[in-house]
Amino acid sequence: MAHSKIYPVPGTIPDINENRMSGLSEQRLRRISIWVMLFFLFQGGVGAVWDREWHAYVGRDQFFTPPHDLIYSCVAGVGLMAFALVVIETIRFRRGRAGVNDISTVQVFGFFHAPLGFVITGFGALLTLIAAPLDNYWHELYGIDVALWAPFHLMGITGGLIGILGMVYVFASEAALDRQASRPSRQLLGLTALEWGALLVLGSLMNFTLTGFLQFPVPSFGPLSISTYPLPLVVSATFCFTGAIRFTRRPGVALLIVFFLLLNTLAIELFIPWAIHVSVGLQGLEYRDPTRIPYFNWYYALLPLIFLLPALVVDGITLWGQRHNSRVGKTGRSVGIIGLIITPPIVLLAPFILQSYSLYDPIFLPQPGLLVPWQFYVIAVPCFSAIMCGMGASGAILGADFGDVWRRNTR
Amino acid sequence: MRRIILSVGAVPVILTLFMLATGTARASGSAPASSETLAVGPYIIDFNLYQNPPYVNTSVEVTVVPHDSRLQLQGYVTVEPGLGTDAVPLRFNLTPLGDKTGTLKGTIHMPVQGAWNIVINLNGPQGMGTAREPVTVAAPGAIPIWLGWLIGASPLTLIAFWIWRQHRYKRVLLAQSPGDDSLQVS
Repeated sequence: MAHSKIYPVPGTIPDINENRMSGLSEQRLRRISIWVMLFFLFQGGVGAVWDREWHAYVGRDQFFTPPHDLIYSCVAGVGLMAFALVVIETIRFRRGRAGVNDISTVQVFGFFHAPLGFVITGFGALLTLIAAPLDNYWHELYGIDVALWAPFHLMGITGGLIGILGMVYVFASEAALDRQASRPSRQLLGLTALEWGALLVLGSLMNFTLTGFLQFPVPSFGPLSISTYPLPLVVSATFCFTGAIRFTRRPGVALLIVFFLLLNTLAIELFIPWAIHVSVGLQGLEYRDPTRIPYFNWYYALLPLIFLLPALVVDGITLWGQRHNSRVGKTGRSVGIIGLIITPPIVLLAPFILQSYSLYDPIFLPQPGLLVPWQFYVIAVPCFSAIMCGMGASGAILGADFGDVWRRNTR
Repeated sequence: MRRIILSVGAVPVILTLFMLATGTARASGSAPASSETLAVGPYIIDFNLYQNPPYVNTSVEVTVVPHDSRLQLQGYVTVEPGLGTDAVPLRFNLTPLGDKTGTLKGTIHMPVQGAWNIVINLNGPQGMGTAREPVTVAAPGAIPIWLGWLIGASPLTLIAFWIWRQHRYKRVLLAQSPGDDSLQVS
């Protein structure tokens, strides 16, 4: 029997080991960074809700209020981490380290090489940081109660949205790299840790939408005003649900996102009133209206339940499609129809849950003392419904588009 | 060359020293920008404001000098937004300077431009008293609203561009691995 012996070529095995170690350290660097960023994201989410309540109950007495400290330390932390990551990845790319190549990075400005997600996240954080002093300037000029839809609020929010989506890219690209390399990874409910991370970020994205929805514009058409707050609810839900389904290919993830969201709002609602009481006491401040003091509110805490039925519908259709090997949920048209189907429950349930939370909970708000002719409603209701359904369908198609990219993108 | 580098490096140091020196001079020995004699209940005082008009979101020093220096006064200042100013009242404590004049000192700030009232609250041997001094807070020049919106909304164009790029990128990814059950563009 012939025996074959393999002799190591001098220098080769140490090189392979070095490459493996380098690849591992690369993986570790990216993954530790993104989990730390996720922590910052939760911190920023709490800060955003706290800030909204601080404005309502205490007022904006200066820039460095406790909620602002929380928000901007989160933004600065994420921004600095993303910047550091981009620089480190560029150096490692130029040194030809294992795991840092054209498959796992994108080129930016012809010089930098880094994972797309970190680039997007860093850009979002930068945008929010640029918006901060401009927003302060706007408040100095026009007062503390300028609505959410002030120009530099919009700029900051856009930055936040970009940053959050960037984090999904990082989790998703790492998961895609694992999938392509067929690396074994532990799973919980059929999802890897990286996929759980991406779902947590999507849950935070929906929470980010909930934070400002009551301050959406209320345009008036003659004596009839129409609240637009269901718009962001519908778009974020359809986008996140279909995006998550397309990314993970697992029915049930939409329900998981709603569960995260519910935990998040419960925790926030437990924390914020207490935090305001403590901060006001410590700083010797007074409430704007001494008769209005923050307290735990079940209505806000349970607000994510408006997404329960839509999540069940999305998951149910996905499961049915997988079991019957159907094209339902796989074509643009069917995804759009799913978006259409899940829109009405959100639009109808939101005012119902919010009825004791806000005066502006109804969608159609007749101006007091004025008679609204029935013809107004005949025109307004179908127009509003068409816009909502259109937004729902668009959100779902967009989510599916992004979900497909998250599924396959390794860069 | 070395001399040029040294000269260039010295500029920020000199500027910093200048700023520090001028700041100290102003704090220690400057005269008040405005002084008003007020009756705060039973107490006659001079209320000094060290910057008038005060500038938005900038700390301004105020002093309360009682005409009767034997009075051991205590007190605080509240700044209240005037008509048309969207803000909340803020409270600032006054602390005794500890000199023979019985002067009280404090630092206030007002976060929004426009009309404000400085309300002086004093407490002493003859009871409590309150007086009100109106001020107008100055602010940097306002950029036009349309320009604010143009700057604020400009990132939205980036989002639109991003969505378009993602759609194209998805097609590239689909072309690379067509077997996966992904979204078919109809």
